[in-house]
Amino acid sequence: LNENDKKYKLKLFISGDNIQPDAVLENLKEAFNAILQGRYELEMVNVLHEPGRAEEHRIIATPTLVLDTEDGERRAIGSMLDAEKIMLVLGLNKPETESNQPSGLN
Amino acid sequence: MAKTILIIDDEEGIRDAFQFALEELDYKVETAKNGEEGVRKAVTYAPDLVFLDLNMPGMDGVETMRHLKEHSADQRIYIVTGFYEQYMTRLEDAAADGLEFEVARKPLGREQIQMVARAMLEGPQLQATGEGN
Repeated sequence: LNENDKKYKLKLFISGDNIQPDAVLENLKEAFNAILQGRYELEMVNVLHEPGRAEEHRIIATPTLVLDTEDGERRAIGSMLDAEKIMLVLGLNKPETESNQPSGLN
Repeated sequence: MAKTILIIDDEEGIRDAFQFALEELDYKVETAKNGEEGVRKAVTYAPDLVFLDLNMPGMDGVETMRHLKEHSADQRIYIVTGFYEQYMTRLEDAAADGLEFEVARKPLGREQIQMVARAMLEGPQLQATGEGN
């Protein structure tokens, strides 16, 4: 699989539908697009509706963003409004050129 | 000035576990053994964060949260509970009423308590491998 075809899977575990989901999603998508150039799938999981999935993934608190990589997974816990900080926590740094693999994932 | 965290739980062992973990990080910790005491202490100390047990005799976690939010709509609250459907259904009703809160799994270990508090009060944190287990 070509590096540029690789897709990253992200799951965002939240509690409730009323926690500014639009603002959170827009911030995250903007940051992901800048770094992963659209090569990602983002799924939202409301633990109030799907507690079994929170248990299955051993989520300890909301909000948690889980990033699946070939090396395993990374998890960021805390406010998702600061998308740049979330990217840093997950080790997703903006590539210097568009053809580069996101640093931190090599 | 140290940030203040309020622990509301009817189990002394749980309150102690949170208190020891959070005082290690130099947070100021207040505890309450039921919802009524918790609401009074929230009014007195204006905590930056509340860890609130869902299942307590008398005023339960949801009712306590409603009182806390009436006093301070922006109060940051972690409901501490197991991720079970019967518990989540109660929280869904609160969420449907517009209450904003986060959920933390019960039980939490010392490092998990510290990480969740830091994530809420200091900014997003990386969850180290194994901390969910």
